[in-house]
Amino acid sequence: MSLSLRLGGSLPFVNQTLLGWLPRLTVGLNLPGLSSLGRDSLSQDKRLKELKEQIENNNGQPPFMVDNGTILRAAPKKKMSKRRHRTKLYTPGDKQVQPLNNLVRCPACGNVKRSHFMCMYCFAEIKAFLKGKKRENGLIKDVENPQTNLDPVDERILYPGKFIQEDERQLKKKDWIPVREEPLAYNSKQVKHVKN
Amino acid sequence: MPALQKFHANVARHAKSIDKNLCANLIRHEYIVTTRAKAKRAQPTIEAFLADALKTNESISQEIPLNQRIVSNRALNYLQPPDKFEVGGKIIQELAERYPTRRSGFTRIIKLEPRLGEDKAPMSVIELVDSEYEVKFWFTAKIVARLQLQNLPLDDITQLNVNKLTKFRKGGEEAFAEAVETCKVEFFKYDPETGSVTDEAAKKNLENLPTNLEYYGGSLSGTLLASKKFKTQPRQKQESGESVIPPSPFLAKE
Repeated sequence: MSLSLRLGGSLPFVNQTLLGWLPRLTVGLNLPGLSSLGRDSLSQDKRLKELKEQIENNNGQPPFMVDNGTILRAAPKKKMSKRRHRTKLYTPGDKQVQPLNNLVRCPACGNVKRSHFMCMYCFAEIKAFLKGKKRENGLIKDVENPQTNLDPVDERILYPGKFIQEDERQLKKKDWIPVREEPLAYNSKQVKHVKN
Repeated sequence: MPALQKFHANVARHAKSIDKNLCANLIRHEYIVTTRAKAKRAQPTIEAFLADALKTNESISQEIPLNQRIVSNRALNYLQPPDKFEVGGKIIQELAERYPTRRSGFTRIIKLEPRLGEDKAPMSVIELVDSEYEVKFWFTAKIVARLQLQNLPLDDITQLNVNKLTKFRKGGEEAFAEAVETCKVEFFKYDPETGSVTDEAAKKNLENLPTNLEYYGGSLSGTLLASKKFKTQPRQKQESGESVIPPSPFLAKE
């Protein structure tokens, strides 16, 4: 863990020498108290003093930290066992996740789609359109349920609401239904080309 | 251990009735979204049924009332009894008019992405061709609408699809041109009065041009069947009427 992250606990601090590489600190931490910087609190923190000394001794450069100028990447916590390793690499191919190499531009919307498959974005649009067309032509008849257009006061008197449990409310929200993501615009530089 | 029951009668019976129901509902709704396995299995049955029903219909006199025509059409007995008159009536009245010369190829399967549920089943659309609610017809119309708004000529594959879709349809070309105009308004927020796209997002989307514009009226147009991989030359046209291939020695000599 870098020094900058360790300092994240004590918020109101900053030094003139630190200002140069402050953006890097603020991006990750999103400090709330940065606008009200107190010079008094600077003198109180031992670690900041230490850091200041180190910077001054190092010709104004920050001392060596783990993430100096790099991006920290995820590191495996444990060594992968031989079995897992071999299963991942050498089991039958249908058990492995294959990369999508057959991405093309949908000629109708310009987004990414799989070749030989219908573009799902266009299909959703066309399906909704065709449903409206069928409704216009009278093939789909909407049956209005009785008592759906009641006056709100009447409805409250006739059907006093029952207590809805938390889980029922969650279910009624219907956010558990998976929704297809909107596809990205096709960019030939972002897809893998098998042949040039 | 040897299999005790090789033929699962209950499974077979169920599969048959799935096909039958898919057949009736496809004719009722013009297109159906279902799993690929079901669509692929039902397709030959539906094709055979429609071909049989339409062929039998031709041999029945058109003067007798509709109900009698349905009853005397032996092929319609395939349908479940409650569906027979509704679906059979549609076949005799609408589909017979729509497919006057067609003997096969009444349906089309379009592959879709897997379902977003637990099972991730591969899905597909099975649809009747030349119908008003044909998915491929509207998809192609959308492609043509997009290309027209981008001021690009059609590429070969789109042109081929347009030709295929309009060939056997009644008033096909006019219907397609109308569908293109509808698609412009419906999907690209095009205003026909001012002649421009009103929506900003749609405008930005239209700026995403195809990668190789040579296919769109450029040097690569008209090369649909030519190999792009190997440098091939078109076969020379014969000057004289005689064939280059020598005549077969097994043919009877005159």
